[in-house]
Amino acid sequence: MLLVSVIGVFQAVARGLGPTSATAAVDNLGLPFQLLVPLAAILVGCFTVSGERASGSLRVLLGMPLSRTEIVVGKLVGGLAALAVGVAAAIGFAILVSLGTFGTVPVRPLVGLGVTTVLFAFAFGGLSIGVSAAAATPKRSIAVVTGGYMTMTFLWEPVVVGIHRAASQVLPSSAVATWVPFLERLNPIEAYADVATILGGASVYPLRITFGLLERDSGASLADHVSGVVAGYLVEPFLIGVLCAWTMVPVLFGMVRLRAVDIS
Amino acid sequence: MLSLVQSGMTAIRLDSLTKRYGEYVAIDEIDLSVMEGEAFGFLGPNGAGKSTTLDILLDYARPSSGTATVLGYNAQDNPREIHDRIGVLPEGYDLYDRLTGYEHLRLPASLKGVDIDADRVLDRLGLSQADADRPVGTYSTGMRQRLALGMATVGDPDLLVLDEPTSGLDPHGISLLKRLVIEEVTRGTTVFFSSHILEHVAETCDRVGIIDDGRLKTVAAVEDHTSSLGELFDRHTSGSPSEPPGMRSGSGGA
Repeated sequence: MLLVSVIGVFQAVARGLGPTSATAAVDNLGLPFQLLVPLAAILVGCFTVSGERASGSLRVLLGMPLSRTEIVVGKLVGGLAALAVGVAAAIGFAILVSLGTFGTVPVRPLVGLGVTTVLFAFAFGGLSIGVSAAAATPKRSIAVVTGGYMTMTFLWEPVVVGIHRAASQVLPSSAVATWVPFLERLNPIEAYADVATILGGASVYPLRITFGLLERDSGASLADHVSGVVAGYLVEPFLIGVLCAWTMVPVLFGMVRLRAVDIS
Repeated sequence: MLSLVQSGMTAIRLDSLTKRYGEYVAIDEIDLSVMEGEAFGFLGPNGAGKSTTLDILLDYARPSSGTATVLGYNAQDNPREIHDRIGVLPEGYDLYDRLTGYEHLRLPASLKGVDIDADRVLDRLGLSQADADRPVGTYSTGMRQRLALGMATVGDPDLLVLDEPTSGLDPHGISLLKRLVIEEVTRGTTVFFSSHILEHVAETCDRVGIIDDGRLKTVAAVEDHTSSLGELFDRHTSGSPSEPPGMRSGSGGA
């Protein structure tokens, strides 16, 4: 699916739907990636630990000298490696399609997008595997992670506005508190778009629904937005840290939960 | 029949072991010692608490109170030290359909850091090399059970914990299992073997413990009077052996 979407994006750009250049095609690749990578991560991650727990093969593994923590680490390494290979294949394919369509390869945008997409895949991979370690069945893991992805896509803005309302008793106006853009960027989709733009020099837009509840101040730069909470020179590490936190925090939570439960 | 080998060392020791699921008491204050080198049969109807007890020994489940000691280690504090030295056939397990029999046997071998003579393991279990080359998804229930038994014996463990090992086996498989247990005990392995079928236990074990309703009713030596053991079993158990297992979900009891 990733590969097909790569062809689709390059073909669409080449036929003059929007600006016609290889770099513009890379910009647009960010959009299907934001849809397909989370889906791939859910498919890879949600069945890992809870699938083995539901089937009973976890009881075979635990009958051998393997700890529950080691099993989660093994699933994490394997799952993230599979996702990284998938993303690398899609980027490699994009290089070929770009050569075929435009005769050039926009190296920096593609590499920037590729590295960021791997981090994005890890964020959803870690989330899925962590939830899978905490849940008793794959069904429940899928429900939780899909719900989380839907929240990031559709509900993040209302949630941020709600937090602002609860904290300050007013709806955010144009002069929003400095921590509002910060909260927005805790969303991995938002962080992904920002990091891909910074690293690749292309412009990748976040694929999520907003309702205009928060005013988008187009004049302010990303650094202006985030520097209310994080110093300007820390913007990139902060955004990369958001993606890494989505990878690791759910996994640590899942490990702690799995260690506590009875495996029946 | 096997002679009782008592070296004085305890392989398994349960002290007031209790497991509650909410209101339901799955096992209640079980005290038991199994000696090293002994073949011990853990006998009781379905839902009596056998698997709950074994799950705690294997650290799949944690006791509500009391302790389980395996090979001198606390089952909950030192599971790795224990699992390095034991072989396990758990209840309610599953194998990997896409991996072959050989790949399954290599898994415990690599985790325990031992080399295996896979063909010898296969031979003991009546599996051919052609079987072992096939993915386990093509196996019958009995073949899966025999392969899982083979995995348990990898690395010459000091203790074999077998939960209902005869389930899914045909008469030929059961006789292979009995021979395997006898060979292992002769080699000095301790075997802890649960079953709801008296005959399967009586022919291979030195002693049996009879459990029902979560309580250990009696422990008796098996000599050649299986019939009196049958009376013992009938006297100490209320449930019928064909009852469906219901206790693991915590919803009902025997």
